Amino acid sequence: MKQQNSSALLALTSAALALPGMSGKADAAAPASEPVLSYHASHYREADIERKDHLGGSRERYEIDTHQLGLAAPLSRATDIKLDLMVESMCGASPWYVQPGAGGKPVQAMSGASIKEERYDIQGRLNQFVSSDTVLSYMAGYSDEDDYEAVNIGFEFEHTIPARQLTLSAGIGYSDDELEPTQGTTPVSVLKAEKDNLTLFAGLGLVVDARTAVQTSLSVSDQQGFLSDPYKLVYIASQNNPLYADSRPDDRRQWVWLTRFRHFVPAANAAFHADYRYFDDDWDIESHTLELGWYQNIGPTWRIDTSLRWYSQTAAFFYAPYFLSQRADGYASSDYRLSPYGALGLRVKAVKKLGPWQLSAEFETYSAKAGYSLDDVDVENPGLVEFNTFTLGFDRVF
Amino acid sequence: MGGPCELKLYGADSQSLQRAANAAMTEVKRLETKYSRYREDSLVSRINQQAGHAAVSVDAETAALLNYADTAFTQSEGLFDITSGVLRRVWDFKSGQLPNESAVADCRRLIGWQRVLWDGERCGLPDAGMEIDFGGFGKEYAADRAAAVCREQGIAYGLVELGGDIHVIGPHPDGSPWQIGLRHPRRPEEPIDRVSVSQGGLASSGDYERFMIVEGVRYCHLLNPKTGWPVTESPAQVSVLAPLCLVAGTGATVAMLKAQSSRQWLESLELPYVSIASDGRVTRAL
Amino acid sequence: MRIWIVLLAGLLVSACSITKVEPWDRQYLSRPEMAWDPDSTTAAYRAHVYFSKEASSGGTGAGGGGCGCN
Repeated sequence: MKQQNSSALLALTSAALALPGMSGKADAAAPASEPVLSYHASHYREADIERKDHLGGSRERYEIDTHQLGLAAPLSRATDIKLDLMVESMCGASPWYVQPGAGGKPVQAMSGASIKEERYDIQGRLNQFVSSDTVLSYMAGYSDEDDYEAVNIGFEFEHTIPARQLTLSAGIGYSDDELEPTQGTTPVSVLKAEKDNLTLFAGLGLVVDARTAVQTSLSVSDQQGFLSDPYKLVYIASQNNPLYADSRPDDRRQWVWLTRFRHFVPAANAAFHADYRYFDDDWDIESHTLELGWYQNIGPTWRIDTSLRWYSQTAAFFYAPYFLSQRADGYASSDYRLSPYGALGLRVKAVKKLGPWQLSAEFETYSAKAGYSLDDVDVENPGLVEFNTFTLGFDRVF
Repeated sequence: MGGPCELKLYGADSQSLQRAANAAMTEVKRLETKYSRYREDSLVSRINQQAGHAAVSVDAETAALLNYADTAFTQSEGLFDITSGVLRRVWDFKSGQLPNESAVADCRRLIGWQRVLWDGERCGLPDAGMEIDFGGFGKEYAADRAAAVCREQGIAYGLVELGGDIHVIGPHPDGSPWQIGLRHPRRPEEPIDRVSVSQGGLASSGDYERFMIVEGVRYCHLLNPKTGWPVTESPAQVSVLAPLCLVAGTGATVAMLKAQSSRQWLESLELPYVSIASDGRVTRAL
Repeated sequence: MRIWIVLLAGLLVSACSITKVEPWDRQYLSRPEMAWDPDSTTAAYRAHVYFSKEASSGGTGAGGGGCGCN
C-alpha cells in the first residue's frame, strides 16, 4: 500500500472510521459477539514399553480419555466469559523405578496393577474490556482427582498502543495444590503433602505488517512444597535395601522465554507458525522447544493444519537412571521426565466449517528418544515415552 | 435506496449465506428508514421539522455522520454541503425547464452548512425552510455497513452493490479480484472500462444520473451549493477506489463538483480513480 | 544468561521495523489460523499433555492449575 500523504484523504478517512461499526471487529478489542460452545473428545495412548527396557510389571502404559467442554460467551456490553471443563479418565501403568540390568544398562520397572483414575478440572476466565485498547482478565480454577486437589487464581492485563501496533501484557498466577497419594500395591512416600506455585509474566506483541505478527514473553515461576513424586522410587546400589523414595528439592524456580511468529502467505492462502520456547530452571534443567506449523486453507470451508514439534531437555542435577551411592544432598530421581532426552512430534488436524458448526479431527504422534536431544546423552532413560493421540472436536456458534 | 441492490457472497453453505444476506439487508433497511427524507418519523425529518426552532439531540451514529459531513464540507472547500438539498425544490429535471434566477437565489439563502448549529450532540438548523439530507453519502455508508455486517457473519469473499456504489468484502475464493465494469456515461448498456478490485469501496458519480438538456446544454443533478446551478465543465463521470465506499463516494462527488479542478482534487486525494471527460477521453490513475 | 535473554527479546522486538496496517487492512491478521492459539481447547489439551510428559511447562500466561500427573 503506497504511503498516503494527502491531508484531505486522512481527514475523510479518520472521520469515516469514527463511525460506529466502520473500523471492523479486527481492530479494537471487544467482547465476543456471540456464544460459542465446544466439545472435544480425545483418546491418548502410550506405546507399550519395549522388552529391552522392561524389568517387570505391566508392559502397557497409559491410556487416557479426555472430554473437554467449553463455553465462550459475551456477558455484558464490556465483558465476556470463558468456562472450560476437562474430564479425564486414565488407566494403565506408569514407570515405578529404574535399576541396573544386564551389563549395567538401566531397565524400567513398571507399576503392576492397573491404575484407574478420574480427573476433573474447571477453569473460568472473565475478560473486562476497559476500553478498546485495554483488557483486564480474572481467572480462577479448580481441579480434583483421586489423590490430588488444586485451586488456582490469576490476573492478566493487556494494553494495545495502536500507533505502535504494540500490545503489552503482564500477569500473575497462583496455584495451591494438595496431594494425598493413593496407597495401592506400590507404597507411597508421603501421606499428605502440599505445594504452591507463583507465576509472573510479561510480554510484548507486535503487528509487523498486514500479514505478520510476532510476540515474545518472559515468565518466572516459583514452586514451593512437596515436589517429589510419591509413587516413584530410585535404586541406590550401595544400600542394603536399594529402593528409596524419589526425593526432590522443595523449591524450584523456572524461567521461560517464549517467542511466537505468525505469517500469512496470501498466494498460498495459508498461515505459517513458528514458536520457540527456552526454559531454564534451578534444577539444572534447560530445554528448547521449537514448533513449526503450516495452516493451509482449502476453499472457504476446509483447513488442514500440520505441525512439527522438536523438544530437547537436559537432566536435573539430582537425576540418574540409578545411583551407585546416596547423594550428599539426599536428592535422587530416576523419573524419565527429569532425564536428558529429545522428542519429536507430528500433528495433523483437519477443520471443516459447516454453517454454525466447526468440526475437527486431529492426530498427533510423539516420540521421545535420547538421540533427538541437542546434546549427546550417555545413557538413555528406559522409560521414555511414545504416544499417539486422536481428537474429535465439535464447536458451535449460537 | 434508489437503485438495484445486489449482494454477491461466497459462503460455507446456503444457511450461513442466507443469514449474512438477511443481516446485510436488515442493516441497509435500517439506515434507509433512519435517514429517509420521506418518512416523517425519521431522524433527518425531525431535525428538518425543527428548522428555525430548536436543535435536536442525535445518537452516536448520526453524530459521526454529521462530523463526516462537516469534514467533507471543509475538505471540499464548501462544495460538499448537506444543506444543499433544498435546491430540489427549484430544479425539476423531468420538466425540461430551467428555474428562474430569483427562485434559485431564494433557495441559496437556505444553504450553508457553516451556519448549521452542530456541537457534537445537538443539530439545529437556524432558518425555517432549511434542510439537511444524507442523500449525498447515505448509499455509500450503507454499502460499507452492509459489507461490515457480512464480515461479522464470517463472509470473507464477496461484494455488496447498492445502485452503483460497491463495497468488495473480499476477492473470489481462489484469490482472483472482481472485475467491475464502469458504465459508459453516454451509452448505459456498455461498460467503458473495467476495474479489478480485491477489497474495498468503488463509487462513481456522473452527469447522467439525473439531467435535462435545454437548448442543447446539459444540466445535471450535481448542483454547486454556492451558485445554486449545476456544475459545468465537469468530467462526464468519475469513479474512485478507496478502502471505504463512503470515502470513495465523497472523492467522486467532490471531483464532479470541482469541475475543471477535478483532476487536481483527485491527485491531491492520492486515491486510484478513473475520470471520463465529456468528449469520452478516459484518464486512468489506478 | 537470563539478562541476555531479556535483552535479546527486547532487541528482537524493537528491531522489527513495522509497516502501518490500516484497520481495513486487517483481513489476514484477523483470520482464525493467524491467532496465537487458533483453537484454545486444543492448546489447553496439548499444554496439559506436555506438562505431564516433559520437565518444561508454561510460557503462555499466568493461568492454569496444577495436576498430579505422572
